Amino acid sequence: MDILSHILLGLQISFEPINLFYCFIGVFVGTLIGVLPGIGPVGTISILLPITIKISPVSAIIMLAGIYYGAQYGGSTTSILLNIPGEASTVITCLDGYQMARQGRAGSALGIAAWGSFIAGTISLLGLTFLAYPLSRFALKFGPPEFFSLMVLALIILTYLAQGPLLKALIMALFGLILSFVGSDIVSGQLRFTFGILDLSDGLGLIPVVMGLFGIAEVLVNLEQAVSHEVYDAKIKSLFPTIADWKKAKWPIVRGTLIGFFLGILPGAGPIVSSFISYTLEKKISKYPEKFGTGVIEGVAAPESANNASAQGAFIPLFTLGIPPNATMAILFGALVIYGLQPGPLLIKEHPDFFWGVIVSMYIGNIMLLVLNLPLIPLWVRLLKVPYSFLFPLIILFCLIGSYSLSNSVFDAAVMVVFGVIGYLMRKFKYEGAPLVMAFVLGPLLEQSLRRSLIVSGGSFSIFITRPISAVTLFIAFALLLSSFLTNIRARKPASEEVI
Amino acid sequence: MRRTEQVVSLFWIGFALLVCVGSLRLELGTISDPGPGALPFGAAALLGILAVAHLANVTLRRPGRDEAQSSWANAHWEKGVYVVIALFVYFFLLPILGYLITTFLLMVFLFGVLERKRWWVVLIGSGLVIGITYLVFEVWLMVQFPKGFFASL
Repeated sequence: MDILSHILLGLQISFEPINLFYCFIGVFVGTLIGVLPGIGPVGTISILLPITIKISPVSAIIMLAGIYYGAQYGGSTTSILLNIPGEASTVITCLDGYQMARQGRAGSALGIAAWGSFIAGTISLLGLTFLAYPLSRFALKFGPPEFFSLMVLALIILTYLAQGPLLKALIMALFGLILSFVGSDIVSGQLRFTFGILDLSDGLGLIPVVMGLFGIAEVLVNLEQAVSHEVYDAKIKSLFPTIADWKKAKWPIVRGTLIGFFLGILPGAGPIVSSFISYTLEKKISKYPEKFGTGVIEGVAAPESANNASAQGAFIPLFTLGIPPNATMAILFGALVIYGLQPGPLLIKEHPDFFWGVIVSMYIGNIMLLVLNLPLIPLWVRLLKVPYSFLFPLIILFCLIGSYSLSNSVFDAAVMVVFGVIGYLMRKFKYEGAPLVMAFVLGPLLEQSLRRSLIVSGGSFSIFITRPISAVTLFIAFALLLSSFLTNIRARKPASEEVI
Repeated sequence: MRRTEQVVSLFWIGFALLVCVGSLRLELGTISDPGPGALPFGAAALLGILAVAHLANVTLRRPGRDEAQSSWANAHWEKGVYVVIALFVYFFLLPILGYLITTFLLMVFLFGVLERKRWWVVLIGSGLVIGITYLVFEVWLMVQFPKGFFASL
């Protein structure tokens, strides 16, 4: 009964015209920056933060939250139509989404991405509304050893994503891990591999690296082929998935939602990891895993559901524990403090109008996104039907602006171009980018967890197997690795060179 | 294919060695208190081992179809090289000439020189792109683009 009265309070606040307006602005800007490669929610929220100080905290957070989850919706559009992830969390959508588009099924891919996002976002919100306290209590049981084991599991799962040889995927993961070590050491503050370059003291930025590996590299590869994108010639028939598509996608959406929601509340996991894991799970349990990467709808439905569910789930630790689970939430944490609100268990008790107003606005935002996204998709498609010779300068420019705008740094833009060249060479030598990106994202957390665990245990590695959650996670990781090696050995035939 | 893979494996071995040396120069620390070089050293050592395994794998297996060469065959990679060079020239000129002029020149190069569009298409297209991105990012989203010599005017 109590929760019902809170929801009614939330409805009252979120339906105020000014809050509806900010919710709309948030989801629209979120979709826009999600669609545009190179500019993400972290950069946009940082840029808009100074403006929000002039408006009420609840309106401000409604808008900023809308940008965050709206970007997850929009990010899939460029992944499917251009093979360029609008967001890092939609990298994996490129694999099957782009292939579907190339086969003339862009409408189905875009439609299932939007519907999957809506369903996942709504279910995740229900979880956020009703399960916030117990789930947060469970997540509190995770200490550094558990987080380390979880990161190891996530990295091992990478090998499952690999379409090419296992060794190459592992090499890419380790390369990504090494890149993540560039910058200040998390414990001592000592600079590592910065070569005296001041701009590297904070490490390599995720956005320049991802934009380079996927955006610029794609442009360079397309330029040498001297042909226009095949996908632009394909007619997008319907944005509504067929009944057959729904039959295939319904369980991946459910599984993606659950994975996304539970990983969303864990610090560090977030939309990127959950999208990768949900894709891997679908590939693993599929009756036709070999078809993943060639344009199967499950490969779009699962990760798109997961990243949206995760985006909404990420608010649980922020609001109830005061722990920001990712960079965007960290900025929102800072924003709340600026507004005079202390994130944590007392937030709901002391400011129920704020908490429930924001939560209910997310339901409204999800509906707005669905209503906005499906009709807007033809506009993006029309934009993307422009000949590639007109399009590639624009892609380059958006990537340049996106990487530059993060910290108004020309250096970041240059880093992006360098990684564009690296990404181009990786494609030429048949190395995949996804394991690199995943390891690059997880690297700092993995290092932090390992070092903290060893300090706590006095240098004993047994801490990872004496704690039940950590032990089970590591066991799963080991079993997956073993299974992956055995599968590779079994598949070693003369035609085993087929990659990508 | 085999030669290419061997060269790439050797590159990874060299890279791993360099990172290992760099990590040793940092501090490895102890097991109970790992230093800043510990994890980079471990990751690089593992990378080196995997690269050696890959080298052995490609060297010892029977020669197969020449697939890697096909990814370079008939590829007009020169265009990509021009784009990369243009981008680095862009980064050099950006602080001097500012966003508007430098980006206009970049767009003229990409549309006009690289893609050989008609001159009026190049000029109008470049102008529109610059104008719209300036309005959206500089005016609306308040991204602070380099002003170049305009800043002193």
